[in-house]
Amino acid sequence: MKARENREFPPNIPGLQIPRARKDPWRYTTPDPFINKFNSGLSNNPSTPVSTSLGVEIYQFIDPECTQLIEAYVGKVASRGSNYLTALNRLYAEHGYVIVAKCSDKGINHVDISPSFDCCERYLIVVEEDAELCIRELTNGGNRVIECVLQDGAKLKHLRLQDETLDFEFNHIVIRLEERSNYELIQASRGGRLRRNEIEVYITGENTLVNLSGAWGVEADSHLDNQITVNHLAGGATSKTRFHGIVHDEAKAIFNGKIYVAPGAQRTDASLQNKNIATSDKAEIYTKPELELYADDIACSHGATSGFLDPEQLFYLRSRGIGQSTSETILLNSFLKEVIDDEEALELLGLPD
Amino acid sequence: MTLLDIVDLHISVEEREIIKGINLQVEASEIHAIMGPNGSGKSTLTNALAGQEGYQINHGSANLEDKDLLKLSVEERARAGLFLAFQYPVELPGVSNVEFLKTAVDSSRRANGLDDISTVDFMKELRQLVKKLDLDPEILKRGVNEGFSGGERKRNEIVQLLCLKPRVALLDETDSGLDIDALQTVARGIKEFRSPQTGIVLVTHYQRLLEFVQPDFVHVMLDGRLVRSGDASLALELEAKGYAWLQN
Repeated sequence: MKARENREFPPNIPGLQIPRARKDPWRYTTPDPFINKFNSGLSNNPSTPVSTSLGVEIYQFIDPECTQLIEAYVGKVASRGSNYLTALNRLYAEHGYVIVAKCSDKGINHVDISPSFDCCERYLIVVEEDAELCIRELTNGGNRVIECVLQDGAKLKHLRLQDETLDFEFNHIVIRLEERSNYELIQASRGGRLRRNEIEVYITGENTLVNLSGAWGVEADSHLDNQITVNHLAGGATSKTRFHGIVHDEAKAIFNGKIYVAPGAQRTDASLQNKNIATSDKAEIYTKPELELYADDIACSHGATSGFLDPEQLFYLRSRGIGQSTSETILLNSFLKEVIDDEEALELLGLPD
Repeated sequence: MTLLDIVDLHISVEEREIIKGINLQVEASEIHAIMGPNGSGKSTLTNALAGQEGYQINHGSANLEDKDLLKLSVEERARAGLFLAFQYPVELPGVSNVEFLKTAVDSSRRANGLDDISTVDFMKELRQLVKKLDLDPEILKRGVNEGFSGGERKRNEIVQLLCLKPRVALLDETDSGLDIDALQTVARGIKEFRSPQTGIVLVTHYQRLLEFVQPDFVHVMLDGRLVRSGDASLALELEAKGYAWLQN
């Protein structure tokens, strides 16, 4: 990790522009609070990754044991995104952890990652060939960048629970999938002052499977921004992205989702969907699904919807004697349950099982 | 005993009068069929009685037993004993049939001062109803009407009718889109609902359903009015002659 004294702010990082508000991909979220936090708002209050699984090794970045892995991957898995904030994270990160999951006959490996609150930190996760890992990650107010490599045949199930936050929270995860590997994200988000999740997937091997599911319920003047890119660089892979959100009161939710299929990535099967329900006239929803396709033998679809609860559905429920507010709750709950069925995620979102 | 009493009812949709003075009394145990061409106002009448938004009551009254229906919310009408079988039942993705119906039954029970129904008793009855209506028991786990065929949706409406046990059922073209076997199944369900305590209003285009469910009265609706009423033989006459002879 590098020291941060006597430095011009915000620092000039060669090749990367300082992001500006109102310009993509910061059209509806201003980057300034995230950037300024590096100057003054960070604390030394890191998360702790914990595992009792025999196949998991956890190191701090300063540990000489993991020097090779850091040199091989850190700043490289995430380099394609050319993200200024992620580069800042690298410059300022006070803490770094390497998690290695090995193929084990003792079953699936588990790691718990606690919230970092307002700390800047970096993770490298390597799931080795044919190994399986489940991560349960809590986020709350920190600045966390995770680089993740799934080697051939590796499987990663990633449960991300985002409780209400009072701070500016920035999360960036970049996943590189090699052949036959499998990544599943289940992300449940509640509201908060300002939260941005950047999720970047790079499929570099054939026969890989990616499943990204997310649900949110944001209230009051919360601001939630999800930026998702699934890059199919190799063919024969399947990706499915489904995010549903409910926006109450004067809250704001942003979703930018993109599927990129590189030249030659034939037999790609990719879908991306974002649906939103507003429960108030003052709620704001900005959603943009995108396809950028350079191969022709592929099946890709994308779609987004935003609106209020369907009056026909409400009438149907009420016509069976179910009260207005219970009917609304039933419809809103089922809308989120369409994409998420994890018990803990449902509990976080206040949905009965 | 009069279950449903409609007196000189006038209903508008977007400032245009669709129902132009309807009188209808449904006594306990009676089946009334309302027939009429497309656009005559049949669905407007049933939807407005169930309380759907967008219908303006200009004049008249509608009572369900001793309750003024028009003063009640949608759910209060249902809890008071009114049931509408939808012409086009909507999908509720992710809302399981069991959750939906249990909540509906309990909502009415609570409103009437009763405890929630026991889950064991409820499931036992529901499974029997599903079997009676020739539906796959797996539908109970699925979302309400989610991915159902047209026929399955209509049969599911009858499952709900028998489960909720209202006093008056308004069946809006429950026979449309059914093959002959499904029609007989639905007819069986309607006959099961019929009792000395219940009343039925059947809205239909065709005589076909009436072959299986004998109505006590047949009414013809033209341009928002009931222009002719008679017994079951009127339906046969309509089948043979159409509606044109009643236009004037």
